[in-house]
Amino acid sequence: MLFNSLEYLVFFPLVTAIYFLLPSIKTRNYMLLIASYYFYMQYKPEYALLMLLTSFCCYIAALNIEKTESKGIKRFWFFISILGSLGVLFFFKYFNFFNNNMAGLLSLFNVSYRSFSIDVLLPVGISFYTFQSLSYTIDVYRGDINAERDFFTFALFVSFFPQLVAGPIERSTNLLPQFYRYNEFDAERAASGLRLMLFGFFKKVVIADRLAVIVNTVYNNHKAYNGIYYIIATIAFAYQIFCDFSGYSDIARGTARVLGYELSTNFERPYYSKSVTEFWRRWHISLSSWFRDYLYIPLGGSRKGYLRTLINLFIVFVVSGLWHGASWTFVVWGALNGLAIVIERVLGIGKRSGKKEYMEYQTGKKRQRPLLLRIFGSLAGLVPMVLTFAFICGTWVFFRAQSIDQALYMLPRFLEGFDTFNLKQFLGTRIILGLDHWEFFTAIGSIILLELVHIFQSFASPSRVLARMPVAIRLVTYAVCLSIVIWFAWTESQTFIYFAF
Amino acid sequence: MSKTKEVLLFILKGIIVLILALMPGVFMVVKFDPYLFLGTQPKPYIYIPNERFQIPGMARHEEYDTVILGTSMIENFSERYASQKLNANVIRLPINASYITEQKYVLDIAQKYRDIKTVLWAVDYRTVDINHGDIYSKNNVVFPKYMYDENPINDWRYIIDHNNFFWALKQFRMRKTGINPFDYMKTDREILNTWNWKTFSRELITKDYKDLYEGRKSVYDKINNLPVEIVKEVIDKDLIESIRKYPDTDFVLFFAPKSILWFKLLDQMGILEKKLEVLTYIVDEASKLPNVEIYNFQNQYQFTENLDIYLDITHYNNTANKFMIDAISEKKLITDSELFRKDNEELIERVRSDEINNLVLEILQ
Repeated sequence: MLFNSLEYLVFFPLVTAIYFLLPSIKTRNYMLLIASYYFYMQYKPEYALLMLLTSFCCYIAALNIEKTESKGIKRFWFFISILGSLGVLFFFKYFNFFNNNMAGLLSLFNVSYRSFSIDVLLPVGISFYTFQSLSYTIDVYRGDINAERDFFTFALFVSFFPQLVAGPIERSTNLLPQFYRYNEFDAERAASGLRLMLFGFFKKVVIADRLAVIVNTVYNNHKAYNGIYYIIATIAFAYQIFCDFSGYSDIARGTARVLGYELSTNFERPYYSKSVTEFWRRWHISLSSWFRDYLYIPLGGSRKGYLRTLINLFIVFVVSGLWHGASWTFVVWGALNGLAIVIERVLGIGKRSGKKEYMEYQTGKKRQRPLLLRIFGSLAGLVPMVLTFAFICGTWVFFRAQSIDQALYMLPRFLEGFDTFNLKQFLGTRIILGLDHWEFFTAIGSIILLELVHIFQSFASPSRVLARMPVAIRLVTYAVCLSIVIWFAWTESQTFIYFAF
Repeated sequence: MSKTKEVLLFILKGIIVLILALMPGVFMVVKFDPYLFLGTQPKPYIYIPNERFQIPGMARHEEYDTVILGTSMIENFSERYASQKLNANVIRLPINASYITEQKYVLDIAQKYRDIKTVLWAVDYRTVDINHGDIYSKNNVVFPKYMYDENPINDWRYIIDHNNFFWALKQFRMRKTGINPFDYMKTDREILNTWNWKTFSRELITKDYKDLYEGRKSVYDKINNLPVEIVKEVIDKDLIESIRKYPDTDFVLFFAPKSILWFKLLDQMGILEKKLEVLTYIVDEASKLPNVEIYNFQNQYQFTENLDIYLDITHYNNTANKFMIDAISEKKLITDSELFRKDNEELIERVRSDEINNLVLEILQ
C-alpha cells in the first residue's frame, strides 16, 4: 500500500481510530501487527512470509544468544541469524548480480561457467527490515540489550507499518520499549504528526512526482539531449530523490507520531551541507548510523591507525552503495562518495562543522548568534555548499543512470550545448521536458517554497510559531498548506524510489 | 477537558481544515467546469483538445441533432460544412485511437441527452479489433470512465482533480486577460482537434510506410489482429446492438479512404483479406437493419493514391472529409453486400497491381 494512495487515506484513520479505542497495550500491539502485515501484503502477499521468516529467525537466535553462557553457542546462533537474514536478502536482491559477475570474472580466466538468473521480484523494503532485525540481533549478541521475550511484539518491531518499507531503520533500543507504553490520544501530538505527514506529502506528491517526469524524460532517452538538459534533469533528480525519500520518512514519522510513537529523524536538510562528510550526517541518517555502528566500528573504525580508518570509511560507502541496489552504478556511486569522504578526511574538511552541528542537533541546542552574523555566515558558507551540492549531483548521475555506460556517456557532456541553448525558447514551449508549461513552473515554485520552509526552519521552529498563533489563524494556515497539497499534487501517483532498495 | 471532548474537538477542527482546503479548488472547478462535464462553464465555451475528457461534456451540453462518431479519421470534418450539406446541426465527437467500446459510450450519452436524428459513424477494422467490453488503447492513454458512466457518486473525481483545477485556472486567466498560451485552448468548436495546420505530403506518408515496412515502427501499435470470431462478436454486440437500440435514429456507417499504402502494407502482412472479411461482415449485418446506410470510400483511388494529401499512412487532410460529406449528402457511393464484395475484389486487385508494386519498390529504394 502506498502512502500516497486512496487506500491509505482510509487505512490510516481506521487504524488510528481502532488503536485508540482498544483498551490495552497487548490488544493494540496485536492490532498494529495485523495492520502492518495487511499493509505489507498489499504489495505481494506471499512476501509477508519472508518477513515472518526473518523475524522468527532473529527472534529465536536472540533468545538463544541471551540464554547461553557459552561463547561458541552464542556465536553459532548469531551466525544463524546473520545467515538467515542476509541469506534471504542475498537470494532476492544480489543473486543474479553476483552470478552474472562471477560468470564474467571466470570468463577472464577462460573458465566456463554457465550463468543463470532467478526471475523473482524484489520484496518491497527487504533491505530495510533485514537491517532493522539484524541490528537487534547484533545488539543482543553484544549484550547491549535484552532479547525480546514476546514474539508478537518483536514481529511488530520488524513490521511496524509506518517505517516498514523505506525506513527510518529503527534501533530496537528506540522502538521496542515504545511498544510497552500505553499511548493516550494527545491532540497536540496528533496535530504535530499530521503536520509532518502533510509536509511529507507536499514533498512527495507536489515536488518529487512532478520532477520524476523531467528526470525520466531526459534519463530514459539521454542521447536525445545534451549538457544543459543533463544539468536540469540531474538537479531535478537531486530534488526528486530527496523529496521522495525524506517525504516518505516524514509521512512515516508523522503516522507513527499520531499513534504515539517517535521514530528517528532521517534527514536534516542535507543539501545545506558544506562538505560530503556533513552531507552523510544529514542524509539517510538511520542508514549512515547503522553502517557506522555495525560495519565501520567492527571493522576497526578509527582505532586501527590512519590508513585503516580511510580504508574502513571507503569500504563502508562501497557497501552502502551496494545496499541500495545490485548494480555497478550503485557501487560506483557509493565508491565516489567514499572517495570524497576519504579525501575530506585527509584534508580535514567537514569534520568540525559537521560534528558541531550534529551535536547541536542531537542535543537540541541551537546557538543563537546575532542575525547579521548568521546571514554573513550563511553567505560565506554558500561556496562550499554549492560545491558539495554539485559533487552530490555528479554522483546522482550514477545513481539514476541505467548503466555505467549511460553515466559515462552523460558526465563528459554536461558542459556541452550551452552555446546553442536558448532559455527563452526552452521556457516558451508548451511541453517542457515532458511537463506542461504550468506544471514545469509549479515544480520550480514548489522547490522555492520548500527551500523557504528549510530556511525558515533554520531560524525558527515552525511548530512553536504555529503554537503561538490563535486557533483560527492556525486552522487557516493548515488549510492553506493542505490546499496546496491537494490542488497541486501530481495526479499520476508514483511509487517511492526507495521501495526498490 | 475530557478525552472524548478532546477527540471530538480534534475531529471537528480536522473537518474544518479539510473543508477550507477543498473550497478554493472546488469553487474553481465548479465555476469554470473546464471539460464542460458539469454544464456550469460560462458561455462562450472554451474547449480543451483532450478528447477523452472533453467529449462526454460536449455530448451532454452542446446543441446538436446529428453526430459524427469515430477516431482521428473524423477529426477533420467541418461541422459547419456538414451541417449545411446535411441540413442538420452537426457535432463531431471523435476520440483518437479509440475502439468501439469508447465510441459506444459517447453514442449512449448523446442519445440520452439529445434527440439524435442521424449518426455518422466511421467504422473501421481497427475500431472493432478488440475484445468485447475492453477499453484498451496501445497509445497508453487514460480513459476517464467516471465521465461516461452516468454515476453521480464517482463524479467527485472530476471536482477534486489537480488537472481540472489547473485547467480552470487557465480558463479563468484566458477569460480575464485573453491570454491563451500556445493557442492551446479553443473557443471555436470548428477547429477543435482539427489538424489542418499539419503538413501533408508524399514525403511524410512514404517515410511512415517505410518505417512500418522495415520494422522501425510497429503496425501492431495500430491493430491487435485478434481472431475473426472475436471481432465478429464485437461487431454483433457493440455495433449492431447499438444500432438496434436506437431504431428512431438513422445510422450512416462509412469506411474512410485510408491510403493505398496502408492496404498494401496489410496485404504484405497477409491480413488484408481478413480486414476486408471483417468489413464485409459489418456490411452484411448492418444492411439488414432498416435505419442504416453504408458508404464505402476505400476504393476512391483519386484520394487513396494521392499521397500528397496524407500525413501518414492512414490520415488524410480535409479534402477527403469534404468529399465524404458531399457523397453522403448526395447519397452517392452507398454500398451493400454485393457491391462491397465487388469493391473488395477490385481493391485487392489494385493493391497487387504492377503500378502499386512499382510505387512500393520506388519508396523502398
